[in-house]
Amino acid sequence: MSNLLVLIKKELKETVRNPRFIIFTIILPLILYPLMGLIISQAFTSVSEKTKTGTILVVDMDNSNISEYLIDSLNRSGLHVILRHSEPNISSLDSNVLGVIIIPKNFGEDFLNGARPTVTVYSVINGVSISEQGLMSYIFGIVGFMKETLKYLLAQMNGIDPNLISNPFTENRKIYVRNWGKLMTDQDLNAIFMQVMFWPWIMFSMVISVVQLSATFLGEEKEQKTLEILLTFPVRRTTILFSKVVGSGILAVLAAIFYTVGFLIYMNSFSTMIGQIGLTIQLSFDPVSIILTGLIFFLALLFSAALGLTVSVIAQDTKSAESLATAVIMPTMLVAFIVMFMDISSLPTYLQLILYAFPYTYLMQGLKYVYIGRYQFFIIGIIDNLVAAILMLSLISRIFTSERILTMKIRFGRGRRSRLT
Amino acid sequence: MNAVVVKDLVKKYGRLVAVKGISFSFSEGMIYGLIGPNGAGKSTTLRILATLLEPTSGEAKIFGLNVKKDKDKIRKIIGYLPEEAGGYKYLTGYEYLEMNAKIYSPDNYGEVLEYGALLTGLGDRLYDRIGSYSKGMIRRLLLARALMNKPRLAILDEPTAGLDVIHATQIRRMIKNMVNEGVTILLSSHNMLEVQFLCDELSLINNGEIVAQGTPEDILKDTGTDNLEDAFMRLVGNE
Repeated sequence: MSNLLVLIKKELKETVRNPRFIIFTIILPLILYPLMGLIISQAFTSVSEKTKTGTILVVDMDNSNISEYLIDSLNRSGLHVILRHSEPNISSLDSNVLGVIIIPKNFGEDFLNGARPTVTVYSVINGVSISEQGLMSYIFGIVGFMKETLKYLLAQMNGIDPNLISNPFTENRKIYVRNWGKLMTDQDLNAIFMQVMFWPWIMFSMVISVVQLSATFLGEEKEQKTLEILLTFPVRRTTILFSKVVGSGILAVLAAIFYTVGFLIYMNSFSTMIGQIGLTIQLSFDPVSIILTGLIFFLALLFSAALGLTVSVIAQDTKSAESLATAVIMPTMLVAFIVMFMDISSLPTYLQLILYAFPYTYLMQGLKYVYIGRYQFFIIGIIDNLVAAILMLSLISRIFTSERILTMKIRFGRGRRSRLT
Repeated sequence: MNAVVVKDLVKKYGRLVAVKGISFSFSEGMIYGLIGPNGAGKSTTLRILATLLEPTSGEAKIFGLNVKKDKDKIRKIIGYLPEEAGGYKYLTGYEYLEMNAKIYSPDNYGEVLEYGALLTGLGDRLYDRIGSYSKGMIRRLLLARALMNKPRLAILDEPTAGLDVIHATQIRRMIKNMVNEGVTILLSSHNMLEVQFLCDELSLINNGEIVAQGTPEDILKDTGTDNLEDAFMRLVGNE
C-alpha cells in the first residue's frame, strides 16, 4: 500500500507540475470558460433588453376592423407599437425600431374572403451575430402571434376549431442590416451567418499555429544550446534577429497565402450555394478586398510570429515556449466569441476601443466587411496590425541584443512558482 | 603574448554571485583548464569570454581585446563549444559545417569546409541529418565546427561530458592536435584526470573562487597528492 502511495504521489507531482495541466485544467476552465459564458449571457441579455425597450412600427394601409383588431392585440400583448399609415424609409428608422410590419390595402377584405393576403415584415438588425439573429427571430415570432390571433378570430366568427385553420396570411420577410445599409432576405442572411459563425475560429486556429510554431523556433535553439553558438558568430545580433524575423515572415507569408487560398475556396463554395438557391446578395469580393484582406493576414501573422519569438525568449525550453504561447494567445478565443455572438458596434465605446486596439479583431471581423466593401475598416486594421507588429519586433530586438536572451527565463513547474531571472 | 587575461572577474545573477573576483592568465599556444565541480562558475566564466554574458565587474581580455568593448572583434577569433549542446536536427552535418564555413571564411569556405569534414571523422554519416546522430557524433561535429576555422582561441566547455571512453579519447586527441595547428585552447571540465592529461596549466575553481593555479605537476607537489581529484578535495577541505 505504501508503495502505491509513493507512486501515486509521483504521478500527481509529475502531472500537476506539467504546464499543459496548469493551462488546460486550471486557466481554461476557471477563467476562459466563465468569460465565454459571460459573453454569451451578455449577448442574450442585450437581446432581451432590446425587446423590452424596442418598438415595432406597424404600417396600417388597410384601416379595416381586422387590421385594427390585430394592432389592438399587439398593444394588449405589451409590445411598444407605433402606428403609421404610410410606408417609412427603412434606412432612416430610429435606432430603437426593431421591425416594421406593413399591413397592405384590402387586408381585412381578403382575409374575410379567404384570399390569404400578404404582410410585408422587415426585421431591422444592427449587424450579423448570434444575438442579432435572436432579434430577427423575435420579429418573425410577432408575425406568428398575429397569425394565431387571426386564426382564433376566424374560428370564433365561423364557430370552428382554430386548429383547422392553417395560415390566415402569408408574409414577405425582409431583413435590413443597419451597419451595412443593406436589405436582404433571410436566406441571404443565413448564408452569410453560416460563414461569419465559423470564420473567427478558422482565424483563431491560424493565429495559434503561427504563434506556437515561431515560439518553438527559438525555444528549440535555447534547449539545444545552438543559440549560444549562433550568438558567438562574428555577425551582429540584429542580423541574427533579422534572420529569425525574415524566417518567421516567410512563414507568415506562406500561412497567409495558404489561408487566403483556403478562404477563397471557402467563399467560392458559398457563392456556388448562393447561386443554386437563388439568393440576392452580391459578394463584393473584388481585387481590392483580396489585397486588403491579404495585407491584414500578413501583418497579423507577422505580429503573431513576433509574439511567438518574444514568448520563446522568456521561455527556457520548447515545452515552456509552447505552453506560454498557448496561454498568451488564449484571450484571442474571447475575441472570436465576441465577434460570433455580438455586434461589436452595439458594445460600449470603451469596449469597442479595447477590441479594435487588439490586432486580431480585424482579422476576425474582416469577413463581415468584405460583404459591404467598407475599405476604411481594412485600412484602420492594417495600421493597427502594423503598429502592433513594429512594437513587438522592437521589444524582442531589445531583448535579443542584450544578455537577457540567455538569462531571462520562465520555467513552469519544478518549484512553487514560475521563475523570472 | 598572453592569450587570455582575466582580472578580478565578478558575475552576479540577481542575488546569486556565480563568479567571485577570479583572476588568471595564460600564453598563446597552451591548453589551459578551468577545473571544478558542477556549479563552480566555470561555464559562466567561459560564457563571459565567449562574449555571451557581460561581466558585473572586473576585466577579461582575449589577445588584448576587451570582452565588453570589442565583442565583434573577439567573435572573429574565437571558436566556442557550449556544454551539452545539440545540433539542428533537420540539417545534415555537412550543411551545418557549410553554414559555419561560409560565415567564418567566406573567401575560402570550400577549403575550411573540407578541413571541418575531415575533423569530424564522420565519413558518409556527415550527409545524414543531425537528428539521427548519437551524442558522441554530435559532440565531434560541434567540436569540428569550433575548430575548423583554426581560431586563435578555442573555448571548450566540458568537451567530453557524457561521452563514452572511445568518443572521449577521440575528442581529447582532436584537442591535442589542434595546438599544433596554432590554436590556443581554454577548456573547462569536472573530469580532473582528463585535465591532468590535457592541460599545460590550470585553475582549480570552487564556489566561484579559484583555490589553486599552476601546472598539474606544481599543484600535485603543493598538495602532496598524486592526482588532481585528491588535490582538489584537500584544497576545498573535504578531506
